[in-house]
Amino acid sequence: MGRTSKDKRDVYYRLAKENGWRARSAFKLLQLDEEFQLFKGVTRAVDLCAAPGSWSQVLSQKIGGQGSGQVVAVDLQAMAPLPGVTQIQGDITQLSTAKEIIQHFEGCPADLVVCDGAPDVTGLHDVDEYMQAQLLLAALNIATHVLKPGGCFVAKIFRGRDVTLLYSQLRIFFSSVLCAKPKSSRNSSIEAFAVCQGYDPPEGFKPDLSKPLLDHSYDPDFNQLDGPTRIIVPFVTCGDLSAYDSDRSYPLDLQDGSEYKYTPPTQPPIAPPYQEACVLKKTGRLAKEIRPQDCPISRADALSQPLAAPQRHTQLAPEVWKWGSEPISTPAQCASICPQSCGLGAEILFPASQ
Amino acid sequence: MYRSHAARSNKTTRPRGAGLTSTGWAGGSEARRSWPPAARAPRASREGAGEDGPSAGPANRERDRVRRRVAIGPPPPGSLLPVAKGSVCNAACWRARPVLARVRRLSRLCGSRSDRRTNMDALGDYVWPRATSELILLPVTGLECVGDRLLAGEGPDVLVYSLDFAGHLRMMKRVQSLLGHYLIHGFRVRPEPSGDTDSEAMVAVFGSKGLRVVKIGWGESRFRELWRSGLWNMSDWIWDVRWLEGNVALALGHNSVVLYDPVIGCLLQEVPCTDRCTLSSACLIGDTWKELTIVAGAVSNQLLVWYPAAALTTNKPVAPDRRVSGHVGVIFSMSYLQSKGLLATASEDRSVRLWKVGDLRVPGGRVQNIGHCFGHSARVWQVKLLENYLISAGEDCVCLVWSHEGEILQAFRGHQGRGIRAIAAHERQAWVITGGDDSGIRLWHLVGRGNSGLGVSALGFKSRSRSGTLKAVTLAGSWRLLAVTDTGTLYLYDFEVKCWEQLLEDKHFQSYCLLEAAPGPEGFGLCAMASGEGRIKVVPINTPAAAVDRVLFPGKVHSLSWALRGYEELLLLASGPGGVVACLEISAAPSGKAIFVQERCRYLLPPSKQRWHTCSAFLPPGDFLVCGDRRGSVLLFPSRPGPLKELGAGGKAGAPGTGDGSDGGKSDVAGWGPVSTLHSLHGKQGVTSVTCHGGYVYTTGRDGAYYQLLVRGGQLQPVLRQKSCRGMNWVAGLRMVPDGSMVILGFHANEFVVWSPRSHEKLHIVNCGGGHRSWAFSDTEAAMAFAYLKDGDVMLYRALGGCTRPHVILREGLHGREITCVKRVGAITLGPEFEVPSFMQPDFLEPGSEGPGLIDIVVTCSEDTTVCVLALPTATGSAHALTAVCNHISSVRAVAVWDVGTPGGAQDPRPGLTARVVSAGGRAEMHCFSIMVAPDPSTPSGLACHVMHLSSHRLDEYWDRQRNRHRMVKVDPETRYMSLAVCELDRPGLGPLVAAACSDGAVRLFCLAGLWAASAAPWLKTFHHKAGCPQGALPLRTRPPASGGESWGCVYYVCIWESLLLFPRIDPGCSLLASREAACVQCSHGRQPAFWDLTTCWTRLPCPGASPGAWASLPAGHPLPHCPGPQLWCQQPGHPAHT
Repeated sequence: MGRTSKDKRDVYYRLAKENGWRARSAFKLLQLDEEFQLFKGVTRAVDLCAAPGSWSQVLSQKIGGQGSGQVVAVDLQAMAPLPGVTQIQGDITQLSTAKEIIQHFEGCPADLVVCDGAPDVTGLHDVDEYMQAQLLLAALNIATHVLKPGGCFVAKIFRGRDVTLLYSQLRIFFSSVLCAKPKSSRNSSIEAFAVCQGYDPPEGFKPDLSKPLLDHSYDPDFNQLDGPTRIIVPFVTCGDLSAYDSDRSYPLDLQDGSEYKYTPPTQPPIAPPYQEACVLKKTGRLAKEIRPQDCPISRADALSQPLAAPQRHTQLAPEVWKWGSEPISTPAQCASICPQSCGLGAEILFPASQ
Repeated sequence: MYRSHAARSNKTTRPRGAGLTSTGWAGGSEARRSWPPAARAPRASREGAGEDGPSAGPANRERDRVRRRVAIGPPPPGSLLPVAKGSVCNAACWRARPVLARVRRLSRLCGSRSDRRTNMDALGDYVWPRATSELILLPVTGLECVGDRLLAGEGPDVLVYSLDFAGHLRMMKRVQSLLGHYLIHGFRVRPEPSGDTDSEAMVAVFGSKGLRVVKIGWGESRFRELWRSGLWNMSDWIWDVRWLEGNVALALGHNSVVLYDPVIGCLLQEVPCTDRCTLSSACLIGDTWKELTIVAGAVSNQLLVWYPAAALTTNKPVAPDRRVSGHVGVIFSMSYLQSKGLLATASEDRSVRLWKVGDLRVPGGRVQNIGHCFGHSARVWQVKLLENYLISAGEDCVCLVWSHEGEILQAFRGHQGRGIRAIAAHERQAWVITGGDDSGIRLWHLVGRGNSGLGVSALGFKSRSRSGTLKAVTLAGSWRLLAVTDTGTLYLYDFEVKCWEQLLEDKHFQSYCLLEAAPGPEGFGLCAMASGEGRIKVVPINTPAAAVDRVLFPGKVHSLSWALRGYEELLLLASGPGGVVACLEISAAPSGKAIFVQERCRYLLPPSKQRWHTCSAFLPPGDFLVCGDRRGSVLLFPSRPGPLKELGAGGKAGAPGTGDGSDGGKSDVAGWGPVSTLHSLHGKQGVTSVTCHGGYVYTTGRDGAYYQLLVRGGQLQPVLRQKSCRGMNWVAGLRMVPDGSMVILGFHANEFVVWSPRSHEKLHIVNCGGGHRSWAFSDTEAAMAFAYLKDGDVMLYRALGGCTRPHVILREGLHGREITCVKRVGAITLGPEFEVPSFMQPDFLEPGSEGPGLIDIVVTCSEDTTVCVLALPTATGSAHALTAVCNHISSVRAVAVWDVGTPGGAQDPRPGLTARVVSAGGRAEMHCFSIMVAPDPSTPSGLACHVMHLSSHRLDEYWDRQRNRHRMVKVDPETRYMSLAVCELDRPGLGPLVAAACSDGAVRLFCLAGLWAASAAPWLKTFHHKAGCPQGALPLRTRPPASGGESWGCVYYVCIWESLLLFPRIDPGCSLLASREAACVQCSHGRQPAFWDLTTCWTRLPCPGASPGAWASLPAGHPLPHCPGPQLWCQQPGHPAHT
């Protein structure tokens, strides 16, 4: 695998590098905008969970061009500075962060709040979906503080099992909720984007960051309901049909005839959690297993003899489960299943078939 | 085969499902069991069209009535089922998320389907039968030892194992769907006042937002579920549960603690923290509500310690008592050891931290970081503190055992895929049990510091009385070692006596001497030495004075090897100059005092630069010798090229170069040529060993691979090439261990490694300095020994118990990564003699599922680059991986099966299945192999799967042959095959048509012709959408893209079907598809399907070496012109897709 492999396998990765975006996700926001005209009339935008900053780049380019546009990027992690973007390093669950955002807009609420944050996925899907839902709800919670009525909120969701709960939660605050998947988002990924337009909090709603918004709980049979009680959120794919396909592998010389040149990544990650571990690994300072055979070599006669024979196990076939029948694992039967196994642990070899 | 079963099922004493008629076994297995169309081979779609619609005709209805439905259940509870891809669902591909093969069955199918349909109108509120899962393979996310039992949480199911002291390990029971649609994340056992959890225990099972309490018992040494509570739903994620006498405390997702009565399901008290951050882990400490302490791992990487009992009223938030920071990543797990006041945390930053916290129940204590352990190469998922150890396991699939001082004492490697998700420990037995993402469960032994029964010792050769330096070492059996010095002196070392003894000294063997001990348990007490002047000495170790000398060659003896047939025939092979191999027969006098060495014949190796053999073995029953040579070829020689044969015509079988004078013109030196040669099988580095076992020949080589070969009709035939573990490029040998699996010996950089392909575990590692120095290996069931020369001394590594290690695989893992495709091959019915005991409750069994095993065979492929043949016995609810084929270099995305049959043909009643499988995936790689599943009582599943690799093909193979390729940029795309479709052609000798959907926007068509001669699959045709109308093929219906340009994306799915009605025969001269009137490929580009008529393309198919359309005019029965497939690509590097 050469360094061009990724460029061939993922055209958006490559285009992002060539166009100076910090991540390929920039195209997702651009394609969402194509479909929903998100940036129309927007002058104040907030990018939550902004790092590495590709969405902030898009926002500053699209809104910053409209004269008085202001973009605030919030993230817990450090992010390399971006021109035209005000950065706040803070926790989106804290009220102080919300206040700081408003302060930057000189007391005016934001027109658009976007959140492309996702936890580092663990691979256990229920945990990942839960954490993503919590992140979205935290983003929604802070958005209720900073968003103007009629404003727009775009956030990444994982279309998992409990996604209907999230939709119902979002429907409380927005007049229109759509689920969109841009073409630059890979088919194999379960991510999609909730595009919520027309912020309209319920009568008497008071934003409160001290309490987390919990996901709605199911009526036991909520998910099974159909008909008017169940909210069906429209699913929209966006991105022109002629746009590049994120799952397709493209040859390096694209149609337009320009010659391919390798571009290094725009912005490498800043201080990832694994940084120290990587440095240690590179310098060979990770802890290593102490193996007796690597220890200072002992003379043969110094070796304690006889060595203890390791314990052995047999694996027996699963027990037949019969109601009311006698247990079969009497010692005699065990012996018949595995004649060597009784008593003499040392004789028995590695998981034997019965 | 069915009759025997029916007889048995009548006799069976198990209860039958209520209200079900025993309809017996009418019809074939195909008719009886239908697989969901999703898992079917495309061919089956023809007959399965009416699968989900109302059955047409009474015959079908009857068939439906007796058919047992197996279907994929309704959309997921628990997000476990396929995720739809775009708008076109890839029907042949289970987008199974983790390691999931979920088979669902409609249980309690009351009456026939047709009845149900007719009654539907009358019963408006008819309750459809709910599907239950029959088998579920998921990451093991919870493990807990309860007394001497192990509870394992797999999805919502609980598996119960008994860990018996007598060394028996047994799966006792699977409790299904205990946690509904939640996945189990942990178990908490209620501490009993008596401390006795051996007979019964109260266990809180939790996961996600669900909690259930079960009381389980082991009366009469069998598992019983005595009572279970309801499934309680919490408002938030449960991170930890702690028993507080009768109630439980729960640590919830947004930093709150709940006191809950789990018996009646009642919330007693809820206390939040003032900091309502999202948690990633939590740990509850204390046995009463008053002293309850929560340590919460926040997403801000901090630990928060607070005391819920400090809340004066319910719902009054409590401020955190302490905040501890240190980790730079999210904390995934923690463990508190009260007796030593230690807390361990595992984090995303790949480290484990050990904190001295004292008694956490006392507010305001000091927290001190006493250990920062970096050892994992990925995120750490789990940590557990034991009295003397710290166990951690992570995404790198390694479980590390640390001392409390931060040294790694042991490392358990063997799980596959995305890591270890759960750990448990049995301190009394010193066991660690790990559960992996691959759904495997393994048991390991804690041995503590330097007490593993393994060790390297120097044998202390250097001494004033022994002159010379050591040149070679060998092991005669497992307790005697021989070494020779540059003075030609042979020494013996006995492991029991522990002293060196000089056997003989011979000036002829000065400076150059080869030394090999005879094989066999005790080496027959023989060894052979060879000199640089063509001299051989065979030495009986006990009576060295009786050694026999022979001068064989005028020049150097390049190599020596032994071949042993039972205890009857012992041969010594010695390679001399010019590729001549002398074969000496060794026999002993009845007295055992004298030996006789007699030259039997000479063999001649094929010409090469380094022309000597490296290894040899008898091929049972003993007519042939299999040899490997330094050039990497495997050769087959007759073991007795007897005088009769010699007299006969052509007796000197293929002895080219016999009279070329390379041996100094001595005509009697001329040798026998090989009767069969596999040239350069192992590449230029040579073959290192040959072993014959179980009807196969196994060879290993320094190309890092081992081959399985078959001798058929006196010809060697490669069956399967397997790679050893990553980085082990020098495979030195292969041993069969008593449990039927094999272990691979090899050199990994400068280490000698014994590796088990079955458990993916390095069983032994010896840092010996590499394979170029003189080394010897011997193993018996009792012990293994590895000796090597280092620093002028002999080093010896010994391990009792042979090659294997005491670690146990409680359950085999399946694929380590996402399963991308599942195809059913068929079903096998085994006779009662093969019955595998079942652990399922048979009280809900339907007729047909009891009795002798009806075993489904499915083929799965996965991102982990393997294709797996799985046996799914219906009776036991378990899955057995019969074999894994790892030929792919990248992920496998699709498999297709065709030509399913029985081994003996239609008339043969023996059970078994044969099929041909083609798999394709990343790097545009395609492999084709045939499988044969046959009964084998020695395996746990009662089945054995034989795999024969037929051919392989890669689009960019030409690239690997390019010189200076590292300096060039490869411009063509990294194509992946996304999907496969197979269409069998009605022409004998012609393989099927395979259509592959490619990620570069093309559909490629292959004809697997000439496959049986093991040639590469000729590439036939590429349909490329970019070019608009592809050459030779007529797009029947395509929607033009919205705008011009690069519009066609990845092709996700392809299928072929035949339709007699839709497409009239277009070209009557088309002989290939004459009987199949028309065939179509459908490929969907995300959202747009496209249809292609293959008949039109076929007639215009460009044929290599012939004019276009040549095939169409071929007379019927004419063999297909030979298509040298890969060459097509060699001629067109760069843009194959656009041609």
